[in-house]
Amino acid sequence: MAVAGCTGEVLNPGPIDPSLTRPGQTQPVCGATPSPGSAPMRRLSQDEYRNSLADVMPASVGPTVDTSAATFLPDPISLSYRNNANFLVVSPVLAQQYMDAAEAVAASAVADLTALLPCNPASGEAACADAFIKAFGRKLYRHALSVDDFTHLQAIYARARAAYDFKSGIEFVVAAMLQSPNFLYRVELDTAGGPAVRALTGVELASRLSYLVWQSGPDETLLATAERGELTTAADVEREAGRLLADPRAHRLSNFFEQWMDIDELSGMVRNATTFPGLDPQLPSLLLTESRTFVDAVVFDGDSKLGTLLTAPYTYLNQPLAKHYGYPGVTGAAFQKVSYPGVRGGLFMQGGVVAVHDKETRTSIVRRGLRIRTEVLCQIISAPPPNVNTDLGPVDQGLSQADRLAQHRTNPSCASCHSQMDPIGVGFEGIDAVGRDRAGVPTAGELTLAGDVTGPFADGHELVQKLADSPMVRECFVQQMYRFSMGRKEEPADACSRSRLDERFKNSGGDIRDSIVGLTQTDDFLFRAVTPP
Amino acid sequence: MKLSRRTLLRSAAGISVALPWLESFAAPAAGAPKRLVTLFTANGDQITQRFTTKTETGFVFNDMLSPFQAYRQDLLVMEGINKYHGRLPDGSRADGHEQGGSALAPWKSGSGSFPIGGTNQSIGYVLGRSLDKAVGDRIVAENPGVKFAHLAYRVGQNYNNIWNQHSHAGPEGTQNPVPPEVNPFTAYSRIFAGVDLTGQTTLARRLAMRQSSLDLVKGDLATLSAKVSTADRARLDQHAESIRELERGLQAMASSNASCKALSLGATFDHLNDDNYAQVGKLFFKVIAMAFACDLVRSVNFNWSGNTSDRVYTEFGHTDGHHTMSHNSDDASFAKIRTIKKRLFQLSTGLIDELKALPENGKTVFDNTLLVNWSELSQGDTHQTDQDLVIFAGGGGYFRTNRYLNFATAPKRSFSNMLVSCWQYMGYPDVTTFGDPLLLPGGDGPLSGLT
Repeated sequence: MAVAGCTGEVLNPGPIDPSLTRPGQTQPVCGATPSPGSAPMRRLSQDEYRNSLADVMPASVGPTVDTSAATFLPDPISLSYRNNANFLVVSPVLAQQYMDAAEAVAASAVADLTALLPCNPASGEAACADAFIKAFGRKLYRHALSVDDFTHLQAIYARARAAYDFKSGIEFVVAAMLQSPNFLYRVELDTAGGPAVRALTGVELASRLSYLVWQSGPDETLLATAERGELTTAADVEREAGRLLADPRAHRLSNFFEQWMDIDELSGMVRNATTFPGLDPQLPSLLLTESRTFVDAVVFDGDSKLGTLLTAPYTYLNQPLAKHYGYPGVTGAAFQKVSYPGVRGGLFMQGGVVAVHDKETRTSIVRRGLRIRTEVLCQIISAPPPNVNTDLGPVDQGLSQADRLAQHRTNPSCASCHSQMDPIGVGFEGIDAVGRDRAGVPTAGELTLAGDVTGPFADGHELVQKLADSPMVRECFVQQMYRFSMGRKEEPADACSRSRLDERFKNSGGDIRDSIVGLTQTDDFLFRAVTPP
Repeated sequence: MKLSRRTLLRSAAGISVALPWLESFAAPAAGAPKRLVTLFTANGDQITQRFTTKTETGFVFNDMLSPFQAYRQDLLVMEGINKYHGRLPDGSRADGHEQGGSALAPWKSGSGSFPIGGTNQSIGYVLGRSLDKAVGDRIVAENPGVKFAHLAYRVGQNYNNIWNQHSHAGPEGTQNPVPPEVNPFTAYSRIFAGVDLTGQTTLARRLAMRQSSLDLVKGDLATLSAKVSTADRARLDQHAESIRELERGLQAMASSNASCKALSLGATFDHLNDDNYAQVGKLFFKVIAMAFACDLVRSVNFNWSGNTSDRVYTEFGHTDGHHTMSHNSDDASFAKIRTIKKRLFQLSTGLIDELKALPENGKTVFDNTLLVNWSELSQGDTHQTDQDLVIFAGGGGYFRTNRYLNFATAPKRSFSNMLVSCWQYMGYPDVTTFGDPLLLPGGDGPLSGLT
């Protein structure tokens, strides 16, 4: 919902999503039959492409996979995330980049045939090629090859073998498979004439699970379990979700946190050398590593509670980064747990998270506040209408940011929207544009039109404590995770699934890992709204 | 694949490119093809500081526009052009920067992509094709020899959001922004069929591999398309179209233009390092000019950053970003905005120079090209889009140039009418309207008085 129109109209705060009717309200959210939302076919995101290949290729191919995937054009961002199914199309540029990547990876893969093949070609080339196509195709396509798919790939091998040699045959097959839509899309096929909603097959669930938890295809255990018919019930899915979460590959979920907080954009951070002399040139990557390490430690090695993520009085630093912050007593290149010396804590107060959208010479109170409003409270800020004067009057460089922005709130054309952002952003003024503590700046602000967190706060620390205790923030977190996991915006049809997930998240005390498992137990995950051709 | 017609040239950048024998085996074209480049600079300018004299033939550029003075014989200078985005209904209109930045795609905005939007709903990308893509689609449909429908390039910014994507692939009703290429080196090797090979045998093998892969992809796409929903099929169709373009691109070039040669882009450098900003643009201009000379493409969407660009022009001692300063109305801020725009206009004239350096049919490629300089806003502090400056360059006499026209006094002719003028220049007089009718409040047709 919009928190305000820029004409000065003020809307009352309400549920995050009006389509979500909660238990106790007039209409039941969940009916007797499963009600999944839509499930568009999803092209692999650039991260998923890289992981999917790295996980099935011999280790020696990994660097080529990384180099190739790094050349792909970044996909359009939609609601913070680069994995929205609607935008994951294959443009002409990307088609060519896929081709170049496939050729480079295939060449690298056949450099060591022994590591790649499940058999020895000396004992029979044709049989070995067949075995490879079936085994490798099943891994890449995430299901056993159809007869047609096998035949087409076999023909590619045979022609290349005839024209060149065995190794070429394998290379041609790999290059082709890597460009096939059977690899590049996660496909769930429906047939006409059946019920409107169907349960997913075990093999389909295997892919959903592995991409949810690992951002990659299923491993042999998961795929074999599905093929044996042991991935059918919700309990089966819960069991496997637990297994996947315990695997180090689950740490790739940090992708979600990085896109949610935009810290994946830290590489573009540039700061003025006069205003900030002597910065470590590695600062952006140090800040990114700090947040990654922290998220990892809390979510996977700690209690995994949202409250801890938002308020933990510690972070993870190495010597260069501690030196940047001015915190004593940290030595070595390894990131280690460090208690904050002052009042600071949690993800939202980490250097990189706070500073990523700051300016080259100063903080951006507006952007800092905007992010809390849209990403943490899941509210919408109205855009200024056309032809509105954005000038704040003569700029007095002696004024603090906060004083300058006070003008946002006295100018009526700005006030209705900026009063929703700036007073939040002020809370983080105790952190400068490169993430360090600073004293002597006003930090008292106020949340308005923010449901259960409405009210004043003394500083950022008090603000994040309020946020961490807020059901509205908890619901928003679930909504964000939902968008990332499902590759789309929430919609009315999945209200039951989101409601159940929110209940589970609340009852678990905000356990993030458990909420991933919870996601796999929803109608949305286990069922499919049938969309026949 | 016409191996016999290829030869390998190695450029100084170390990229080997397959180029045709330069002998002509295509029938000589009746006339050189027409091309279109849109050139974007961000955040508007200062409306009152464009000209000191505003008469049709006696116009005088103010300092901000002075880099264009040397080219004025080839320019058609227009101001007072209104995007009329205020006519789009609330909920279908993003803010001045976003909607303005999508002006080449004059359609309503969709919803669901950004939490800054109309009342009660998030805003999305525009719901239709941009000029560069729409014109390019028509070109390749009618000219099978042209390999790429359009190219989208941007200097800087290695992420893609609602603010920095100005090219859109549609179709109508679909949000489909085109992430632009930002690396001029890979952009070059891509369209010039870059292959890093050392001999014909290896080349033949590579081409055979490509053909077998693409045949499989086409077959798999067709099989899959028949089994999925309409919405999913639309994306597979686009994938298939991309594969067709890829195949066209891989075929031997059949250029009859002696200006079509391998380029030397020099040693590679970090295209995302801000210190290389101007150089990246310069290299893109070389690539565009050569792609035109070789008739690989006839439509290009080029951008000096995305709209709302907050690049800090440290080369002028600025400490605040471009967009940040553009919100201010004081003289000092406007002076800095003018400095930035002057710099970008000066850099943009580099494309004119590149195009003029390539002979074609007794003239130059520039004479067969229309450059359209535009911005998302008229002026930054007011976020207005009703007093736009648009400068046409080139056109080879199609437009009556060395003239100034002001459309502020001819209301209801819009930015979209200007886009219709571009269609007609490109040889499509049958195209009399483009985009949402709401943005053509004065009716269809081109801007009047241009030709």
